[in-house]
Amino acid sequence: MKSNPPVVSSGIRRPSPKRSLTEVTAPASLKSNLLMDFGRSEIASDTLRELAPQLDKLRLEPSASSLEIGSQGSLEERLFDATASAKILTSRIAMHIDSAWRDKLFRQLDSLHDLDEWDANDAPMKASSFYTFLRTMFRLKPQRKPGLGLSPKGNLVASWEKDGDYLTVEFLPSEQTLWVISRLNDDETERIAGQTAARYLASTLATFQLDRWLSA
Amino acid sequence: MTSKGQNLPDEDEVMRYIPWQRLRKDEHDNVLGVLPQAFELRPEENGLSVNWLEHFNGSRSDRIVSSVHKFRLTISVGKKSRFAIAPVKEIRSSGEKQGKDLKVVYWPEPENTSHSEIRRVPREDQNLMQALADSAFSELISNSDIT
Repeated sequence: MKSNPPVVSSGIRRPSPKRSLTEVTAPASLKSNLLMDFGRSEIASDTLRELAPQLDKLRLEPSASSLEIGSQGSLEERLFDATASAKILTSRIAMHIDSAWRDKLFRQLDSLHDLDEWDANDAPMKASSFYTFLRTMFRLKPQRKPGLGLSPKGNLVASWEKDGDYLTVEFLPSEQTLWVISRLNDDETERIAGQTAARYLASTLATFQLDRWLSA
Repeated sequence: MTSKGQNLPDEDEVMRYIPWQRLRKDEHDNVLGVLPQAFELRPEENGLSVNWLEHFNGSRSDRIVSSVHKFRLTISVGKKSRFAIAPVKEIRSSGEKQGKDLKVVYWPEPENTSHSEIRRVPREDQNLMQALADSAFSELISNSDIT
């Protein structure tokens, strides 16, 4: 009987069945850290209990680096793996993500890893960067979803625009963020940049009217 | 005649290739501009690669088209990518406002004799990268608009 290649929930097919999508693993800290995030986001305790078994299903590995895509395989395979890792991470907590945003996010990830647009010198998105992004989104709960980009190193970049002012956040693998704000102030462009642990991003940026960018 | 390593004139312009991943977009993937990460040096780079527009002949429009064609011949150019243009003066001015003495030098390569580099760019200066993105390289040309 002919076997089909594994399919991710978005419908993409892996170029070759070298490695099963189910082998993509999550960092050891995922369960406890995400539970902490949900706890802080005022999700009811019964929801937390509901979430716990889902997180238990994730195969836990010693470090976040276990999520990363190696340099082996064709470029097409590596781009596929990077997209698949992110989608699997997202899908496993899908019940707490608005389905419209999840679909949009998946389309953005596909677009970022479009082989026809790829610069061979770039690194595919790091799963650990995407993990930092997901956790940050749970904390920020933006009504306006960000546009997405990638740094040459494979870090996910989120950006918001409001009346010509920009907020850009780069998500580093170590649950750190690099952020820069560009805003017009009395005909002079003012730029402010910093590096902040992801868990402090909202409080740090509150000084700069964070809601202005995130509100619908 | 400009020789290798010589500073480009302030009144001249340079063009940088911006891949799809480094474009600032909204949540629907509409292009709004350039991300600061478009001006991040890779570990092996000493400067940011650009094409010197005045190296090409003809009107400004002709030079823009010639530069895009040169990029297509020498690097992999995506259909959704853009090319950002900046006056040399604006690049140096963006650096000065951040306390950096940027140089834009002619650095021809065998396959691309218009190739030049923006030098003395710090590796982790988000403010400067943002300034290059939103002040200096403010003109964007869509690859799909050039035949």
